[in-house]
Amino acid sequence: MPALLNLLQMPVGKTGKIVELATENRTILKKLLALGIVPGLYVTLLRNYPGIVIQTGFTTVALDRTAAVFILVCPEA
Amino acid sequence: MKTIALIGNPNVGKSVLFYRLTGSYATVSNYPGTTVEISRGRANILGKLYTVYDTPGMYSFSPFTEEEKVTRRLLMEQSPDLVIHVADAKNLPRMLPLTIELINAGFAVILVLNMIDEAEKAGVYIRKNELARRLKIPVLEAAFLRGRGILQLKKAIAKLSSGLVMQKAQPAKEHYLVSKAARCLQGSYPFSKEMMARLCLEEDPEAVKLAKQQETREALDCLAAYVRAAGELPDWEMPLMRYRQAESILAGLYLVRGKKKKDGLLEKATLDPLGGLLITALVIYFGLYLFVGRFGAGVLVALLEEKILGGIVIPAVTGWLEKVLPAGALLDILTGEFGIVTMALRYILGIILPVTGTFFLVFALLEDSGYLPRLAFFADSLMRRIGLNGRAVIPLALGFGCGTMGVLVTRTLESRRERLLASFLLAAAIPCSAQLGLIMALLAGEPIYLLFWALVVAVVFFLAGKLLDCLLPGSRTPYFMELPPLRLPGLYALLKKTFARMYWYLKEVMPVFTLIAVLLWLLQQAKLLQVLIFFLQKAAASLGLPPETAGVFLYGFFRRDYGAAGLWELHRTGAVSGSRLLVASVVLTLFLPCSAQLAVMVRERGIIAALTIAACTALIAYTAGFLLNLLLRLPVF
Ligand SMILES: Nc1nc2c(ncn2[C@@H]2O[C@H](COP(=O)(O)OP(=O)(O)OP(=O)(O)O)[C@@H](O)[C@H]2O)c(=O)[nH]1
Ligand SMILES: [Mg+2]
Repeated sequence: MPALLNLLQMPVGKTGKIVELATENRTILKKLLALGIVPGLYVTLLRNYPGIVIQTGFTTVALDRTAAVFILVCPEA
Repeated sequence: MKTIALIGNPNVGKSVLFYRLTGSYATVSNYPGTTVEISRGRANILGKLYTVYDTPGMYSFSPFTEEEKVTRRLLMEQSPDLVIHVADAKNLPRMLPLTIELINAGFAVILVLNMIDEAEKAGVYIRKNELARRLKIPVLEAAFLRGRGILQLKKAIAKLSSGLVMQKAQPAKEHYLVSKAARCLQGSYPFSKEMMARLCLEEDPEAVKLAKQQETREALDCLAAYVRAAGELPDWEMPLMRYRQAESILAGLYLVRGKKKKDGLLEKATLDPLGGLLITALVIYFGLYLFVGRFGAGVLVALLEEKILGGIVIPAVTGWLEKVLPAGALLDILTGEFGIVTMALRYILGIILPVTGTFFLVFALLEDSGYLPRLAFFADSLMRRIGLNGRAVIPLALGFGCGTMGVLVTRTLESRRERLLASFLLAAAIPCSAQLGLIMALLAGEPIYLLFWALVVAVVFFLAGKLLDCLLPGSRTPYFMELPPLRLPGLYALLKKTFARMYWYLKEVMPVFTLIAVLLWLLQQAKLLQVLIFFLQKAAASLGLPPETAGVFLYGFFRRDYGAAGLWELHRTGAVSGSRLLVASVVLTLFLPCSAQLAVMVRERGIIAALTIAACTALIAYTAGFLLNLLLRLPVF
């Protein structure tokens, strides 16, 4: 099994499955869950500059680094 | 009359549906968080009257932002007889959890898969009949923007409400702690006991308050034990359970055919810093400078104010009024120095409306294309420096249209601190469209001054933001935002929105201007006006400005746009020009928020905050003008 990466470590264009939302910060966590960013979801990293942009299904979400660092994904081979 | 609430995630087409059902316009734009207030309307559905509510978008029953709270409060307080859950069909997996929450809360629900046109294009196919069987509620496809699915929806509404009580679906299984906690509750609630219990377990303040009113000591103790137990669970457990439920309900019913198409060049360019910068520069030059500044505030104002109103309409009306009315107070208020016809009408219709109108048109184009959330994405790193995040760009950008709209939309920001910061910046350093357009037209003759003006306002914006960021306790919240797809704006929708806003603006501005005319006349009669003008002249003189500008600042106390129109007129008479025009423009831009904006600030932020902000802006405006005047007196200029 490949190592887990957070979104900041993932190369642009790569897709991975969210494994964990590794934060103790309840607000961030609940916000991610409300937007539908939940473990088990496949996300593609579209951009990492100037901010993080990810795509899941037909949804594009922009977020800043402080939140992206908590999203741990298992990249697809 | 039965009530219907339109509920759903942000940016799914609720406001389009509201217009289709009720015929009253609610603002429609292509970004999440357009609607921040409840709109109420009446709909005649197959011969029966209903009350319909358009609501701000909400993601779940656990709200984050003020506007989400507004929607939940509506559900709690109005207990609508029927909820129409509007969902974006292509994103159904992400939206279905809310359908389940609505059913579990005890509402009669119709699920509408809107934007089915976009889903079809993307190759998404949803087996809606089977979904309806599984959820036990009506599920319909629609594209409200194209008028598709309206009739079927109306039929479904009529059918559901034909019984005395609307038929409700079987709720999905709840988390075991929720079910247990629900058994503690005895009171009567707007939501099902399970939903109330869940909200109590989340320590939701409004739900807890309601429970405390309704329950006995024992019941609350019983509940408290489960609240503690829930506190031990990981935070994601319950939301994730709802997602898994939605997934299993949707299993095999949501199909994507064909390969996903790659993003277009434009889509890519709008997220690239260079591309974004280029687009922004084009928007500012062509949209703002040429269209609003040169065309709206230049060509149109000259035509309307000088030729049509000043040359034909106003002399005719004044002449007629003088003939039919006896000399006295009424005639004076209508046609005197600050008269309603001679000044208010000319300012509003001749000077302000062409400018705000052209601005609203450009702005509508930006809103409907989906450009604004992308601008927010770029600006995030800038906004971070002043304690805000990219989201704040949307209320701030709306403030360029009208400060009042901007303050209202600060509801979409997550923390009180951010809402306060943004309201402050809107009051202090964001010119409204009338100011922006007229100042561009005034200073267009000397582009250096125009740049200087923009620079000073930008510096004040950042300094003020920075200072407040340091003073206020707390820190910024992280930035998250859905980026809607780029959409081609429709001409009809653009014009509709522009006219709706112009109408709203006129309606808001007319009474104020009438009031100003009466007030100024009264002050003049009581000889107080002269005293006021005297002091304002002193203040103006200390900024190196001629005495005539005192009147302009006086109008500026009431309305920003009025002040700008006054300055424009002063410039035409040749009383101010060159560097003095620059100083006057800067002071007026930074000057007090106008009365309407102040009223909204009082309502949204409280009276103390609003008055403090107003006092600070006056101070900032004066200081900036004073320093700028000193600077411009230096021999290098
Ligand atoms: N293609 C397509 N676009 C649609 C449809 N319905 C709405 N839209 C577009 O979707 C965007 C959002 O529409 P709104 O009605 O403002 O959405 P809302 O749900 O009221 O959004 P908030 O007020 O932000 O919660 C607008 O740009 C609409 O033109 C549809 O059926 N098809
Ligand atoms: Mg809306």
